[in-house]
Amino acid sequence: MSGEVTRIVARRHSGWIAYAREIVRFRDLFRFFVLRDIRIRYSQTVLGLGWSVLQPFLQTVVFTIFFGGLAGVSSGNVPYAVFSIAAVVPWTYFNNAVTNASTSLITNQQLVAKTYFPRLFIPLSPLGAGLVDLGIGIVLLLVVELAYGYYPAWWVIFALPLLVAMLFLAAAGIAIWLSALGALYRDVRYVAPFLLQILLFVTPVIYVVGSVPASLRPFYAINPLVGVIGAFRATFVHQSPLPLGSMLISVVVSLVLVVTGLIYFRRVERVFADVA
Amino acid sequence: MSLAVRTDDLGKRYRIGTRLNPDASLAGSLARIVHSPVRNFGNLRKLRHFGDGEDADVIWAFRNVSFEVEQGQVLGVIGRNGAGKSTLLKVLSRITEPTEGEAELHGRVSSLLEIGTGFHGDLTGRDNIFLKGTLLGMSAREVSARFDEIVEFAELEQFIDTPVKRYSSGMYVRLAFSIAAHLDPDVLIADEVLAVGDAEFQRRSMRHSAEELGRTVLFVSHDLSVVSSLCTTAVWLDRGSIRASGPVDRVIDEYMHSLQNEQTQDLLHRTDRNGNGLVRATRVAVTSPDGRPGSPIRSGEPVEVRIDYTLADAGATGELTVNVLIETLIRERVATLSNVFTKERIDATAGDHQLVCRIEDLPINEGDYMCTLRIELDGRLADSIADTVRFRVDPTGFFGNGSRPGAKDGRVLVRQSWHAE
Repeated sequence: MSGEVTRIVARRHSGWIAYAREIVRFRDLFRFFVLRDIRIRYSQTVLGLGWSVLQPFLQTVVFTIFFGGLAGVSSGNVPYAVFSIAAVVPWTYFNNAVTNASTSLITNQQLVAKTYFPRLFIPLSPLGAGLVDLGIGIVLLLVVELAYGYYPAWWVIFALPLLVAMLFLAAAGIAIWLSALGALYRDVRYVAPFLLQILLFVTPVIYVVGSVPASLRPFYAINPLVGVIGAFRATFVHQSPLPLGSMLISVVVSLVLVVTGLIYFRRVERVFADVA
Repeated sequence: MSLAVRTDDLGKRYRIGTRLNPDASLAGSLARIVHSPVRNFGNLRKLRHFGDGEDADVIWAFRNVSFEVEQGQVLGVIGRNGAGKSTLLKVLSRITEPTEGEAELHGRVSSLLEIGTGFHGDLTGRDNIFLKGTLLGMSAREVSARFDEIVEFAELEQFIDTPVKRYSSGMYVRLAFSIAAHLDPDVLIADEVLAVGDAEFQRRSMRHSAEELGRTVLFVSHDLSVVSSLCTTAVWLDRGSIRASGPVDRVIDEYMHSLQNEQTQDLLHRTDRNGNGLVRATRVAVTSPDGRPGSPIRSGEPVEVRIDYTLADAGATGELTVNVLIETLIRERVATLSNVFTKERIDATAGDHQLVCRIEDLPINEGDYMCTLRIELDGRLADSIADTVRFRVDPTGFFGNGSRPGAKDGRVLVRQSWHAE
């Protein structure tokens, strides 16, 4: 018999170290949750993985026609299609991951009500699974920009893991908050799409940061996606310098969201099984 | 022997339904639309915040539960539906937290509260073995090491790369059980998992866990024959408290004795009903024809089901359809008694009445049964109550020659004769 002892005490909770230890103990489960989400994402669809190309591709086409063409939104010194796809790829990841995570505890309520495992895996596994789509999206981005004669910066190889980490962190902060709130208040299911829509408009996906009045930019940069998307664009299109200031703000805001999200999640996770 | 599980004054309370008050007027409705978000927010918050005062809508699933289980012991938890058994196992599995008290479990704990939870239909058997194995606390390496054994035990070698949604229900259950049987926890917590599918296969799995591996097992079952054959000790939970605990046979005896007294049930206090309420059942009794309450029910002999009901509305009349569903304690339907089958018309008139359904030759084998009652008035459901009376059937007299059929021979007994031709 292993020496471990599980103590269950009413109204007393394990510390953060014990919490982290549980996550490490179940780490293989997280891998299989991610694998499950990847396998089932496009199962029984005709196009399968083709969707991870089509989703950002069609989005870019729509933006290019309506914003770049009809509305005449400025994309600076690069063609609108290249300008927008560099942002649409990370945005699509963020949007899908957060949407799936926000309802994840409800869609997995059977699992939550009948088994024990670190609950945090549930909102985080769509974030892990989405990375496959993100990888395919980045290949699409490269193909499109090369077709237009644009190249990423030479240091893209070094920057990419960091960019993905920043994007993951930004998505994680919001995903943890929304999933916990969504388990208790089903309103989140209706609020989340709306929230994401607003977020799209306050993020430089369809327009350049330059069109935001300079006096508002410090507030604008509080949105963690401003720095992340700016960094993606600066790295892949390489026509503007890295927005280091807003990147730093983005990391700080994301970390604050992750930490506060974790505190809230831990406070309410013990009742998920009762209210789900 | 060392201690494997100890609970100390463990208790868990729940808040049940948040009530809605109907509105008297349109203005009232409009006012409610404005106010209800605030109130709903309060109600949703109350689901997880408890005041110190005892609210009417707070119930204790169980309370003051203390017991100890030694390493290698198999403990059965028995009791009626709603006695708190499943909630207790959920607390011990750390799925939900207790409201008071504490518990201690030594060693690695795995719990199986529902067979097949965690399986995903679109994934293959192989993927599901890894998913479920790690869900139960194994590492991927441990699953790999046991993989071939699991597949072989489940007899699914040919189908292991087929999505499990294409499995038959038997294959599905075998896979789920095989994974469970190859877990290697020190303490296994299982809820009613013996209730579905291939019973023999499941008993084999449980025996494998308990006897060969020397694990400590805690399990809930409605099937007392399984409890008595697998467990060494038992705990009887009754409406959230321990009524008896100790050696399995003694606890089962006490529990059975209490069931005997439930052959008659007054239904006036039952509020968990469905139907429009035009007719209300007030009492149900299952008796032998001598009518003495508590007299034993024997296979092959006459039995009477007596239903008292009341039709309150003086003006109402109509035709009654009465169904008595005889079910096992795990809700498998054994038989339905209904005046629809016999085409006997029952006209309802206002007042209190009693109906009698007589069975001439009870064909049901040994076991414990309960009755669900459904009454329709003119084709509309008027009253329905689940889990009313309970009775135990004694099969010894059926063949009239000293033969003793048992639960293992099936749920029904068939009149038969044999001769050579």
